[in-house]
Amino acid sequence: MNKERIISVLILIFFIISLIAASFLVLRVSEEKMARFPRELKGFSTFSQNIAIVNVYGPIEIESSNYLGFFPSGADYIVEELQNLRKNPDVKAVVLRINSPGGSVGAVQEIYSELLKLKQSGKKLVASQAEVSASGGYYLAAAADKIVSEPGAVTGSIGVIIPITNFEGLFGKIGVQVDVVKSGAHKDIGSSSRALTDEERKILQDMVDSAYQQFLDAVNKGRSSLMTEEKIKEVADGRIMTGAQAKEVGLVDELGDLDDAINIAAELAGIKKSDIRIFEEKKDWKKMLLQQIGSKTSNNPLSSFLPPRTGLLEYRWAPEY
Amino acid sequence: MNNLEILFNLLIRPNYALKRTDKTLSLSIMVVIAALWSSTVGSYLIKGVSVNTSMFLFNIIVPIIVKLCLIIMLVSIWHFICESFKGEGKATELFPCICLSLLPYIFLAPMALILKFSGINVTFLWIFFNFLILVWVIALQISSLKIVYEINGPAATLTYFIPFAVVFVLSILILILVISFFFITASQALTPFLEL
Repeated sequence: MNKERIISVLILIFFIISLIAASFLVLRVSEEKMARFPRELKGFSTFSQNIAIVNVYGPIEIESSNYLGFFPSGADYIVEELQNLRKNPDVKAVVLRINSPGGSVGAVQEIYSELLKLKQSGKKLVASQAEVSASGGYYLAAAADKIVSEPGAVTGSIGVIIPITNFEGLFGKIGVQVDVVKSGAHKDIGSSSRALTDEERKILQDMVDSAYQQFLDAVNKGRSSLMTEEKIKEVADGRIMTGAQAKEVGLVDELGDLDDAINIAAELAGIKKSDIRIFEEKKDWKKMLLQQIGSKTSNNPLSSFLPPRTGLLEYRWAPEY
Repeated sequence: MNNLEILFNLLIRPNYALKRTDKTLSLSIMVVIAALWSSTVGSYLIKGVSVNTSMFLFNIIVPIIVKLCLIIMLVSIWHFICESFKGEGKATELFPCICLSLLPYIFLAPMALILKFSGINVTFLWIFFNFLILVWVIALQISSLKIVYEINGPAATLTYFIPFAVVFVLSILILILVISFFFITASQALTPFLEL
């Protein structure tokens, strides 16, 4: 028993010494690393982050139709993100990563206004066009100091659309009749149960022309250094083009990927390549999980078969019409 | 048998140590603390993670609390299953045995130190060593069930793995449900992108 006691004491001492030594080493390593980077915060290190990436993915709406409705995930969310970045003194430049066919006029203009405020606060803005940056997507890109596009990205589609589906024929076939009681002649303008009248068409056309002019003004403002108004109007007939074609006409500044956009943003903001630190928004896993569930449940399983939504004024590339 | 003898015999003659009824609750909890501290510190050292003091303490204290709650929960489940197998014993006797069976984890810190400064293939050895310790701990825990409830080896083994098997099957079912749900509700846009 004496021998066993001695062995067990030795094992215990060995264990205690190892534990203390290992703990000391882990903490000591931490202090050494911190001594090398005095700007690091205590704990898991964070550098002073100076370039932020804001993603604009998918159709642009004020908020995505989210059954749960807890967190905005559309234009409202992007605007909130931009406001936070505008107030962050460390962030010197923002790269707007766009992969969107556009969206509703209101939502696009909400984000556009916030982008202009961001630029006015002194921060640099670079747009990076990915797969698709058409119509409303390009509207946002036009706010940037520089536009970088993948050569094969689909861009352009400068124009406005109000899609209206007329179910009159179908309703007639299945015996559905729609009656409307209205306060004014044009209250049910854009109704799906009948064709547009000439007067209604004129009213909607005026709306489209007004929104189109706003679009042209935004592009003029952003691209005036490279393109004349006439040249812009020439390509602003709703046509889509590749990034490479857009560069030829002056709608895009550089061809490249996200990394190139980040480097350009750093150059504009006077940040050395070795000092680039990408800002990452703190990820809230609960928010991400709810957004994932919301975005999945918001899609009606039959949406691929139903006609698209009608009557909304949109800056959207809409080849399905 | 004093505490030091219990700990020593647990490593050399585990069945002998587990049969002693003079196991103390405080010793059991100290073993859990030591085991988790050693395991955490060993992992940090091997991975080269650097933390400050408060984060270090947080990453030790929280797992200890969680582990103790988990052990209490598992002991209750095992007690219920053993009773179904006509075993006779008390959950209050099983709890200290399960806690003490974590003792082999104390070797992780010294092992991490040796591996770190030896210059040999650290990752593979560390994983292998962790696996050996895990097998050792599972064997001790199954022995605890056998001794406390006086059931045979196969019954003790089955009792031990049933809760994990149930959780595993439930996880697979939930995963299948979630994946099916996403496939049903996700819809792809059919617009013709420019594709290479």
